[in-house]
Amino acid sequence: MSPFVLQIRWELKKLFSRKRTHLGFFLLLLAEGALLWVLSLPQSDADLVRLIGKSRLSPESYLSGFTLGVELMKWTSSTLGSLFVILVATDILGGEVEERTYRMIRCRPITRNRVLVVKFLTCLVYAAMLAGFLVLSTIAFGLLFRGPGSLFVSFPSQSVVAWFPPTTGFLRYLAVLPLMFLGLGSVAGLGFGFSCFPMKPATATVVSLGIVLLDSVLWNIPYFASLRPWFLTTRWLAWHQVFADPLPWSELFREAGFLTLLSAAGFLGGRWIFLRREVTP
Amino acid sequence: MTEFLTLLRWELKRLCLRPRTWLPFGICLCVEFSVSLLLKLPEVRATIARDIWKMRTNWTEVFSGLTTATHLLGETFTVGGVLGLALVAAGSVAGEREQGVLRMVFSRPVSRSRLFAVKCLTCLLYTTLLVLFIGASTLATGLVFEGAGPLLMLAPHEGVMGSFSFASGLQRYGLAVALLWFSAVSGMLSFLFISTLPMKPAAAIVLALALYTTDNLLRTAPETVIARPYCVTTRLLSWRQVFNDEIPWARIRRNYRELALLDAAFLVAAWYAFRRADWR
Repeated sequence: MSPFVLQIRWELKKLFSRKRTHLGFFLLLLAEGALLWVLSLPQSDADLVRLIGKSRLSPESYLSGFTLGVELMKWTSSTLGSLFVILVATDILGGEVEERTYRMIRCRPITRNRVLVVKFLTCLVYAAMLAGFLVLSTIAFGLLFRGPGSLFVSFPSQSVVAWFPPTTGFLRYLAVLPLMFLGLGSVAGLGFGFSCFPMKPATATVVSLGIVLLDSVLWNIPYFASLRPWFLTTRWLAWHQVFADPLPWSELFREAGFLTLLSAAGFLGGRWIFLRREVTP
Repeated sequence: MTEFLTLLRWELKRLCLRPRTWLPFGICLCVEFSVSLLLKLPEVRATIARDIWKMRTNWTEVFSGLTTATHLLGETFTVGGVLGLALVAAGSVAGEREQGVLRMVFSRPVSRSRLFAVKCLTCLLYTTLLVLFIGASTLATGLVFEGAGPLLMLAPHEGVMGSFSFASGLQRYGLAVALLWFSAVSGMLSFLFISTLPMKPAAAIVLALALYTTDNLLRTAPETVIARPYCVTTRLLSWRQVFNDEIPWARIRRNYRELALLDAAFLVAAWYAFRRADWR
C-alpha cells in the first residue's frame, strides 16, 4: 500500500475515533426527528396539502415519503450540515497544532504539503459522508412515516416547483448527492482555510461560522432578494435546481464548478498561510 | 469578599487579554457596515420603497437611521452577539479545561463554587458589554448612514408593527436593548452549561448552535408554524415586541418569566456539572 493511502487511512481512523465526528450524525437525526414530528401533526399536514393543492395535484398521491424527505432536507442541509462540517474542518489541523499532535507527525519524514493534502481529503470524505447521510436519512424518515409515492417539491426562493412519478422522483432525490457534497465540500474548504491560520480551533470555528451565518442572514432578508445570486448561500442551495423540470444542465455545471473553485480556494489559501507559518513547540 | 473581588479582577484581566474576546465586536461592526452599505444600493431601496408604498406610507417619512438600526439590531446580535457569547462562555470553562489551566487554578485554595461564581459573573459582565456595544454601534451606524428620523418597525411573522416619532422611537430602542440583555443572558447561560460538559470548546459551540438552529428552524419554517409558540427562540425574540404601537407587556412578562426558569435550570445544571467534573 502506498504511503499516501496509508496516511489517509490513519487520518480517517483518527477522525472517526473522535466523539465529535459522530456528533453531527447524531444531532442531524435529532433535528430531523423533531422536524418530522412537527410535520406529521394535522395542522402541518394541512399546510402541505394546501401547497400541493395549489398546483392542482392530488394530495393523496403527492403527500408521500419522498415529499416529506425533501422538506426535511430543505431545512436541515444548509444550516445544520454546514455547522458540523465546520466543526471537523477547523479542528482537523488547528486542533492537532494546539494539542501538539502535529509536532509528533512532523517527527516522521513527511512534508507539510502532504499533511495538508491528507487532512483536506479527510475533510472531503467527511463532507461526502455527511451529504450521503443527509440524503439517505431524510429518505428513510420520509418513507417510514408516509411510505412511497409521487414527489412534489416547492422551493419558491429558487423558482422551482415540480412534481414527479415515484421512480423519477427517487432518481432526482439521489441526484442531489453530488451537488450537496460539493456544497458541504466548499464549506469544508472555508473551515480548513481558517484552521491553517495561527488561531485556536474554537476561534477558527467562530470565524467560519460568522461568515456562513452572515451570508445566510443577508440571504434571508427579503429586501436583498435581488442580490441573492451574489450570496454563497445561493450556491450552497444549488441542489434545489436538481428538481427543476427540465434539468438546467448548464446552470448545474456552472454551480458545481463554482463550488469546486470555492473549495480549492479555501484549501490553497490555507496552504499558503500554513507553509509560511512557524508552528512553535 | 475581597478574595472574591481579586479573583474576579484577575478573571476579567485574563478575559480582556485574549484577542478572541474582541473578535465578536469586529464581527458586529462588519455586519452593520455590510448591511448598511447594501441598503444603499438602488435596487434594494426600490424594493423597500415598494413595500412601504403598499402600506400607504411615504418612503422619505419613515426610512431613517432609527428604522434601519432597529432592523439591524436583530441581525447583528444573531451573527456577532451569539457567536461572541458562545466563544467566551465556551472558552471560559471548556477552553481552560482543555489547556490544563483549571488544574493550575485548583492547586490554589479556592472552592469550585466560588470559581464557578467568578466565571458566571465574568460572562455576565461580558454579555452586558457586548449588548451595550451592539445597541450603541447599530444605532450609530444607522444614524451615520441614513440620518435621524421617525421609526417604522415591520416584522409580520412575529406580529410586530409600529411607527414612532424620533424621540419615542429612541425610547423604544433603549427599552429593546434592555430586554435584549435578558435574552443574551439566557443564551450565555446555555453556552456556559454546555461548556461544563466534557467536550472541546469548538464542539460545545457547535452543539449549542445546532440546538438553537433546530429551534429556529421550527420557528421559521412555514410548514411548522404550529410549533412556533413552543420554541425557545420565540421567547428569546420577545424584545422585538416593544416595537408594537401598544406594548404587549403581559406576553413579554410571560415569555421572560419562562426564560428565567430556563436560566435557573441551566445555572443549577452548570454549577452541578462544574462541581462534579473530573478535571484531569
